[in-house]
Amino acid sequence: MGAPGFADDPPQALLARTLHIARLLLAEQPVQVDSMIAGSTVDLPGDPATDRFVMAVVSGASTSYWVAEHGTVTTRHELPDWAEEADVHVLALLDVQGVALEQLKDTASRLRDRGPELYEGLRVRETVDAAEQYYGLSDSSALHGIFQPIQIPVGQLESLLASAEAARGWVESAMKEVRQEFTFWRLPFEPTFDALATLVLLLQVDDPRLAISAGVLRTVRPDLGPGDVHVLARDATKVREQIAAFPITLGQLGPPLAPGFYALELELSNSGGLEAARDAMRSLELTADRQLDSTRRQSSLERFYLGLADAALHYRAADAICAFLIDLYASTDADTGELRSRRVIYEERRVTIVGSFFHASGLGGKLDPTSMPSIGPWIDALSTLPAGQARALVHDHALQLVIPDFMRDLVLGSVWRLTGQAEAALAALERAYERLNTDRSLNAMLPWEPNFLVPLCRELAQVHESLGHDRLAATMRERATAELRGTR
Amino acid sequence: MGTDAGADVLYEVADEIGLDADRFRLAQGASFDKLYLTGIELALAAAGMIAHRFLRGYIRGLRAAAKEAGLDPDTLGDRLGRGTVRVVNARVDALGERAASLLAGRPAEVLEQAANLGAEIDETLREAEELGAELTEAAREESRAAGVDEIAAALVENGFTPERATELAPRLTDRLDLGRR
Repeated sequence: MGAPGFADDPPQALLARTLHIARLLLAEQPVQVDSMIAGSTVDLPGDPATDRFVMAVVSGASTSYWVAEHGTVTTRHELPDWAEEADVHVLALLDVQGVALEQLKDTASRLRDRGPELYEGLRVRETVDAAEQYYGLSDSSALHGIFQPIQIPVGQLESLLASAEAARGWVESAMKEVRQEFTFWRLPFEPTFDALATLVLLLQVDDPRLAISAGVLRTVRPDLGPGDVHVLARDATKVREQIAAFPITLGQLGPPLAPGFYALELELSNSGGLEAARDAMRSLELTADRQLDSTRRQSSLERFYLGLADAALHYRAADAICAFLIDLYASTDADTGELRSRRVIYEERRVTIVGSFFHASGLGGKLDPTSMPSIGPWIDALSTLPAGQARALVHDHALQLVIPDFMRDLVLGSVWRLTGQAEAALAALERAYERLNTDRSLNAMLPWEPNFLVPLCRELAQVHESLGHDRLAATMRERATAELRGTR
Repeated sequence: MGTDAGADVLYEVADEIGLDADRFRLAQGASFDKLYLTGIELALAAAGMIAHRFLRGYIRGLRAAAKEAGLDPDTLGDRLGRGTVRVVNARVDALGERAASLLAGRPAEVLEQAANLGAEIDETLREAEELGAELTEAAREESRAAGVDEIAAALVENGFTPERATELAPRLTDRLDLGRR
């Protein structure tokens, strides 16, 4: 397989590596990233005699068990009956600190030297700063002090609260900003998901002014109880008075990023806060599901990752609201089974997406879809497996969002070619070609990604050749050359 | 494709359902303390269940259309010497049982059985289509729509929101077609 990647273009390779490590660091608790690196290098010594093993995953005070038994892996909180403590392999997740952050700083520093235009253009300094600040925090409550994704300029408060339309307009604009800042590596996952959950909840009511006023009041009068906040929030004059009495040094107010707070305030004032919370949760889930649908079909690998980041943010925001509702109903007889099922789904999606970012970061020695030197050996290894097994593995990587659909077809086509299944190879490669070629104008590659049309056209040329399609083979070879010349 | 060409139809549907397959697992009673993380195997098993439900809806649609056309729904296929509706229905029921047992079983079994199950689904889809040969094109389209509705109902039963089920069901049906080309 050809490698039109970054070998002759180090600044772009450095930019890609920097952004992918930053994505992982900003999308996950930093300490967990180091744990992933540690975990990915652990040898899992299954017992060949019994085909089963147990590994204890220790994180702080909590221990969970990965149990493999006859090919099925489960996660549980108690040891299975057949396992003895002495047989358990222990994986302590807190062995290392700062490995990923050091890698990020190293690649960013090299990028600054070798590709200063890229470094400046993508505002990489801000990205590294955000990761460094995030990593330096031991207490998540400090996050809200450092990262405040929603700010209301005091001077604009009057016009913002002038009408329901103006208030909704502000919420929509803030939502767009929050999504963009997270997607483009300048905000960490937390507290951004709380900000998104809050904003989406505010959009579920016809007039979000009451909730915004409650948020502002909570900021300037943290001493007020829930009963007082919503009463005061109804009176615009009193809201103005309270703000005027508050010493605002930066001219901005940061309302609480807590969807539950707004849901309760709205509920207390008979404005359907809990219904709004449920609607917001469903809306976030649906947006995330649709984002996944479209992003896995992306013909740009980097846009695939941008879409995944946005989807992860939406699932986590939905999870925040879901957690609030479960807590709220905990002391009642309400059945929370459906909500608990949703939380499982949201968390699994988030973890799956973070797993995809881990692959792309190149930190764990796993398949890195952004790197041709990593993909080639994977294809070689797959071609030594029985066809059914190879096929299942490749589809599994696509399903788990490690690779987008076009890469699934490119890899499958390459495997079938190597194993002498030319017709099957042609079908898969043409499918990939259709995706990359047709969507190109709509989903242009980003400057730091490899041009996958080069290896794809080379593969197609070889398959056509083996099938005796000489003219088509020549056309594909020419296309590969042209794409390579066009490659940065 | 490869040595498991029969599995094509299952892979098409599995690719479309993607991570949403995990909802099928939850509906099978997976607990919070015991989650099966089986990726493509789960999606293939869910695909078997989706194909089964489409067939169930499609045949129900054919029977309704036959009745409306003044034909005896129980003798669909008899006059043209095709497989009778009773035989095809029995096959569909058996497919449902197999798909359900795969969903409740071990991941490794899914891969072992994917090619056979896919080939059976292919064959049953072909037989079901032949049952509609006596009916008009419009009646067959209505039957297909009944199959789509049945998939949507199956999705809702497995925890999908109605909105999401309505979005996904036609796409899954298209993939059933695509996998048979």
